[in-house]
Amino acid sequence: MTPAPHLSERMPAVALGEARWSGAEREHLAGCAECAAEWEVVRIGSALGRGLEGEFDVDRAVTGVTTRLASEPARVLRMPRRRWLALAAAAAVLAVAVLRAPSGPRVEPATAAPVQALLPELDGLGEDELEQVLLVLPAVNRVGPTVPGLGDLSEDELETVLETLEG
Amino acid sequence: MTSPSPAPQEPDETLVARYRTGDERAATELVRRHAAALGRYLYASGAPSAEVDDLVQETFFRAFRKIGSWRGDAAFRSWLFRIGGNLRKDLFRRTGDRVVVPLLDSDLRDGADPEGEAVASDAEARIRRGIGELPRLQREVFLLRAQEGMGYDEIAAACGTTPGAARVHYHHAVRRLKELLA
Repeated sequence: MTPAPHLSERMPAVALGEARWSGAEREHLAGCAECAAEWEVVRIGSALGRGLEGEFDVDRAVTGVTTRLASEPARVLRMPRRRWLALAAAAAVLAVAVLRAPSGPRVEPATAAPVQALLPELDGLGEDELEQVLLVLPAVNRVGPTVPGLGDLSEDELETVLETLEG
Repeated sequence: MTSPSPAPQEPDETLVARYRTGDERAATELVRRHAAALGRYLYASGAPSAEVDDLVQETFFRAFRKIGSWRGDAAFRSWLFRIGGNLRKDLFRRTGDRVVVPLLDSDLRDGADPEGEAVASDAEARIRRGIGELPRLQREVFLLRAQEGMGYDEIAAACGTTPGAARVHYHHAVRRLKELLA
């Protein structure tokens, strides 16, 4: 038997105590293995960690966060130079790929290849590092659509790209 | 003269705006308001209990450091959950990409039916492990719906997807988790 849609929709609210099953719904749950299994999943999922929430030391969290915010002033990410160079290379190749991509949404294979080659490197980056790459892309893009690739940039222009990346 | 503390009903948006102008009490209020729910979300996602405290603090720290990127199109709590979920994922990656949900003696409550309690705890552990292994969107949608009681519109805004897709993710998640109990 397929779970009744209205029953399925109401499960989270009932599990959270915001609603109650009617007599007919209880009867259906008792006789329908599919609905009963779904109710079990939602009931358990809803209750997971409920005890932890009650025991959670909010004061400690407040102290920990505010102390750290006060002791570690906002700063740019500090990474080893090699890490920055990897980031710079990844961002630069992506930027070139964006600049060279035709107006359509598809990326030509010749352009996609270097990007794919960098995917393992990108995959290894943390969330903040990936965000840095994404933040940098528009800045590189502002160089203009006439820039064909890194190989054609002068040393000064390459420095500018790296400075943009390193903040 | 003491300045008044933030009113309990003050919306998150207002607190965030105050924090952006340098009011650190707003940060305190936001942590108080969301820390326990965030801890529960991380625990339900499979984060080891011993790591939850640190993950919660790290999540808030990062959130406040990049508060400018919260544009208010999703609930502040959902945004925190997203950051926390990414940190949890990073933790799993560092520890070998495995969701470790040990069944501890302390997980078994005292009761008249210890066998029944053990079965219930086993089901809980399986569901928790299963949630941790779901694809990100399925996990987020399931927990936002089951634990926070959010509707699909709100979930869609929080997860950057459509209400229809959120509904599909939810049902895929439920189907996968049901298989764990079969």
